[in-house]
Amino acid sequence: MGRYPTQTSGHRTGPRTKAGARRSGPSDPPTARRLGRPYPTRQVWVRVALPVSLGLWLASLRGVDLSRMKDLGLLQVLPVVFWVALGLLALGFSTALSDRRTPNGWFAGYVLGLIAVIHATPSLLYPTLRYGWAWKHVAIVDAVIRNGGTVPNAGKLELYNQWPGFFQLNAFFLQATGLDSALGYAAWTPPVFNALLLAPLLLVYRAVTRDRRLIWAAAWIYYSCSWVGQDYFAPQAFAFLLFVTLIALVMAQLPSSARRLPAATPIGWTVGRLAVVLLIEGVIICSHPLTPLMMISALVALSLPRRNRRVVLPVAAGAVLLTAVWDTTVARPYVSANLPQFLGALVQPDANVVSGLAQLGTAAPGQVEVSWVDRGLSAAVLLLAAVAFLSRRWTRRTGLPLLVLAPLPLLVANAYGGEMIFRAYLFALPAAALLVAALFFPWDRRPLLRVLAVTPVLLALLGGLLFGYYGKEAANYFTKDEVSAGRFVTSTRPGSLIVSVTSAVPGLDAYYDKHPHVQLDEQELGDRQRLARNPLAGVEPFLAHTTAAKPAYIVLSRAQAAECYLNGTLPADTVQRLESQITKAPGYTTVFRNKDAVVYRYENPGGGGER
Amino acid sequence: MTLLRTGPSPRWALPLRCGLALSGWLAVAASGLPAGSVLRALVVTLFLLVCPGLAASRWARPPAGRETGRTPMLETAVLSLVVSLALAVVVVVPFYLGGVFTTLRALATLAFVTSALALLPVPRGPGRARASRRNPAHDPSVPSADPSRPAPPEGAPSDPGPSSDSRATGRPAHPGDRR
Repeated sequence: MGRYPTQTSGHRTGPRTKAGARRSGPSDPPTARRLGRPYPTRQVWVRVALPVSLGLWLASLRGVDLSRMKDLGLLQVLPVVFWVALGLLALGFSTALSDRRTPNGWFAGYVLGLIAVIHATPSLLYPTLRYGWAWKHVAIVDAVIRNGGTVPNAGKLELYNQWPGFFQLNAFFLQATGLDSALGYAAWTPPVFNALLLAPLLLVYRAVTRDRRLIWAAAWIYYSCSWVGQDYFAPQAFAFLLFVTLIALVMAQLPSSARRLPAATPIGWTVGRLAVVLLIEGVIICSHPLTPLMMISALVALSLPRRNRRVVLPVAAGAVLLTAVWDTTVARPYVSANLPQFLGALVQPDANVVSGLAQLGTAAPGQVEVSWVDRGLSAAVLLLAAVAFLSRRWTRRTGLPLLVLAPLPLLVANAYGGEMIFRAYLFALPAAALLVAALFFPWDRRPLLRVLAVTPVLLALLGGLLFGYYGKEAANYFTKDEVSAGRFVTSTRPGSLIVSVTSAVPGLDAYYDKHPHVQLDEQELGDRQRLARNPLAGVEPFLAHTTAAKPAYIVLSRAQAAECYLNGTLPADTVQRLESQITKAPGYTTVFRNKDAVVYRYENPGGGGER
Repeated sequence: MTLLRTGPSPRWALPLRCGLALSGWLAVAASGLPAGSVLRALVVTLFLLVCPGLAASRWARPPAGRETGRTPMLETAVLSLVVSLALAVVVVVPFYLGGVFTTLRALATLAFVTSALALLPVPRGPGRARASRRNPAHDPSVPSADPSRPAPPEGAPSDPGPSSDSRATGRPAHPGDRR
């Protein structure tokens, strides 16, 4: 037999044209290179567009004025050159797709370039770690190191003691390497995580098809539509990487896998491979509460076709067993305390589904647009996936449709603080992306025309992503002055109370085991209503038990004001009104002030008890 | 058809396994360097991110008759990272939860696990044994790890591959077969 054309190598010979002549040959790039002939025009464009677009992107980041960010975050401060670079990158990738001779290395370059442009831009522009929750997770790692494991007096962060895998891994890494803090690498987590995720994504797609252009198109579409932003320094990002790897291993083992050769060894697992899969499951289960449920749901969905059960059932059984063991031992305090709430949510499927769509009434005008764009993008992706399921019959034999539907039971079962609909989208996206790619690129006789027709759609998807991903950056970005305020507050005497309006204060949770913290925008509805009517009157009940030995520190900052303005949980001017009232009220002392933050100290003369 | 190997070249298999077995102990030694030492950070990071998973990937290779092209290399790379992190979590979480964590203890345990995974012979499962009987030249668990057995020469006849299925049926076995 002749050479088997390895689909991933990029060096296979081309198909015969109608006339029977080979389409490739001397113009094949490797051959052309050997013969000293020039590359075909499209290949020249592919090789020029990538470096030019990346150069333009880097050049565009000089002199960006972050202080001008308002309703639309980075979208309104990035210069035209940035958008030109992104468009050029997309056009170059489309051209690469239109030519079957494009080597894998260039596809990889384009997808990694896209990841860099989307996810490294904030890391390059911002002087400090982006996003308040990333700061919180860095603080938890530090607390694990300080306490040698389980963190006492963790309060609302007690949850992390019960799913500690990610934090204890980082604590171990820091102690073993001798590095000071996770802050140094946490800022680069989004681009690094997304780049790492590419490899297991490719393995998932490779288990479905040998068409390497389809595989790379699906990877591009995934990164063009992944707007949910769960890729920062967080256990869910770590667990998601493990989840996609697990799905890749399972998909490779299925009878329908494109990685199986005919007359291959019997379907099933070798002991070593199954052990690795169970190991990955165990680490997902001890690292994040939601991902194990998504994993079980995906495995149960994949086991629905009878032909898959021999492969999937042992893995699904392992996942259920390990989750049950963890939830009844280490995570038992949280699970038992919240079980009534979980069960109650089961009978409110309608409320669970729409919970993430509410609270737009008082949001900033630009944020309402952002919300509609990212919801529209999600709906478009799922709709296109459904059309692919109907029109590309071969996709029905794969596990992809089942993986898209797998998060649905969890969407109906629990609201997950209003985030479940977004998390469900995130977990459905890897499979949905390949379905969308299959719909867009059936590779008929005119691939160039098809790619040119689809390119505007790809650009629209990318535009939608940037609305969702960059639209809230006014509250996710912190200045060094805000970091200084956070450091000042957390360096006060242990036991003093810290009060903030929102979570958008960098480093406020450092020493969270030593400082009680009141975050006003997450209090009960009655407290928030009082706060909205009169901010100072809304704060005072929380300060009733402060003393000279354990005073309260109220921190107000730029990003908190931006968050109030953007999301509308509290009136947009809450921070400004509170600051204005405090400066006139007796008993409050300004102990720290800079351009972007102010800290007030308060002690109740009549206080003395514990709140 | 050229059968691409699923493991390292036999010439490098034994040195690689020995290197993996030693890597953890090198990291243990490096952890004795002062905090902030670049050498310590590099050696320990390289070990924690790559070595345990690379050693474990020997055990996780798929049954024969499944792997062609660069996919096995990609899978090995993914498993090296992911399983390294997973093994580190599995080692440190019990220490932390039990309140007996020390860096040296965790690192030494991980070094021991890595050495064991690198040096112990991989048992032959039924799939591998059967595949090996069918095609003695292709046993992913052994040839790549055993320097005494030569690798199948490039271009040697081996598994028919999906394209033969396509010829037999006149249709591609998978949608991408035509591309």
